[in-house]
Amino acid sequence: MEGVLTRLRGVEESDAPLLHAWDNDPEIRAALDVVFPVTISSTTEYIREITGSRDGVLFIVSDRETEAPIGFTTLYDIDWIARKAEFGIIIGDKRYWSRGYGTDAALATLSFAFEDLGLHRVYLSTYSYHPRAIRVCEKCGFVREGVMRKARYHHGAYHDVVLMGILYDEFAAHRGRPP
Amino acid sequence: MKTGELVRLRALERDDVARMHGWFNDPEITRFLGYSFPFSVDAEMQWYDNLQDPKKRDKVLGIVDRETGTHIGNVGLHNIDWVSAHAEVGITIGDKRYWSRGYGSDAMDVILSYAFSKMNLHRVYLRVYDFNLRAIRSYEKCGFVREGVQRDDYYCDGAYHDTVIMGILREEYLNTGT
Repeated sequence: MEGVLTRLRGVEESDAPLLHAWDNDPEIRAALDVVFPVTISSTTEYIREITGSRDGVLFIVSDRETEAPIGFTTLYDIDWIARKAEFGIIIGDKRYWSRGYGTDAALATLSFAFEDLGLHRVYLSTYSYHPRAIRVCEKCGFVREGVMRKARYHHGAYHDVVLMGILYDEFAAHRGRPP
Repeated sequence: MKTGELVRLRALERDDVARMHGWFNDPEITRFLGYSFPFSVDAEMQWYDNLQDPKKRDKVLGIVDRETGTHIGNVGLHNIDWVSAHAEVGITIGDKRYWSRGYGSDAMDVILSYAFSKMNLHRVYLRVYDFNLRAIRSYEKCGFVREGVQRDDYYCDGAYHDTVIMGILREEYLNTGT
């Protein structure tokens, strides 16, 4: 799949060291629902699990210009009856933060979710201390659906978990607008 | 574990599985729980066996009518997160003769007390479908606060429905004076 700035491809087992490094970076893991160290074998196992399943997908995001892998996006816990999936995105290469690459990769992933998989709804949860993620999601057309109060313990304090969701008709309408 | 006014909670036994198999194949009950294909007694037994794994982050107890000793439903803590100290609560009154008579609220109070006072959790939350007004009213009575609405999150009987998220914090529970 192609965005304007990024390209998405399916994850390979050989991507494990890349994901493993991102998952263990303190600044990046703050955005993830992980606390204990992530091992290379659990990363490999996760890649095997998601590539062997039709209930989730993980894309490696690369810079279209340089081909360098810069992060990943994922749709997981796909529910084929409610036609929904949970969305996740990490831009692991920090040089690409706040430059539109995340939004571009997120839009390409949403397009896959709605127009290739035929899903009806995509949702996610993020943390109140992570405004960059919230901004990316709002730029893609996600709507804030709720706040789970004090549901994440991080750096010695409880923080809120922000719930966001987007429906197919909202995505279609949103994409018609200029960026 | 503290006893409620109407109910007490106890561990589930293998003998309970056949009864639960009836509840969880009843469309009048499962429409409140999320979609599932009809399933066998064996599948229910497997669920029961998995629950015995002490590493599992789900704890489910049976709700028993104090007066008659009848097993009338289940209440459980799921997705227990020991770092963020929270869990999702789920409750089913399977015996419909006990619906709308305060047994569910009473069982919820017992499990909340257990979650906060024994398990040292600091937050309990739940998900409930928008058309389950009886349950929403009962959760509000227990002190749960409405925290969000996940739109078109559930498909049931030919239409999409919203999922309501509700939560209660330990200090809120203790301040209700129950």
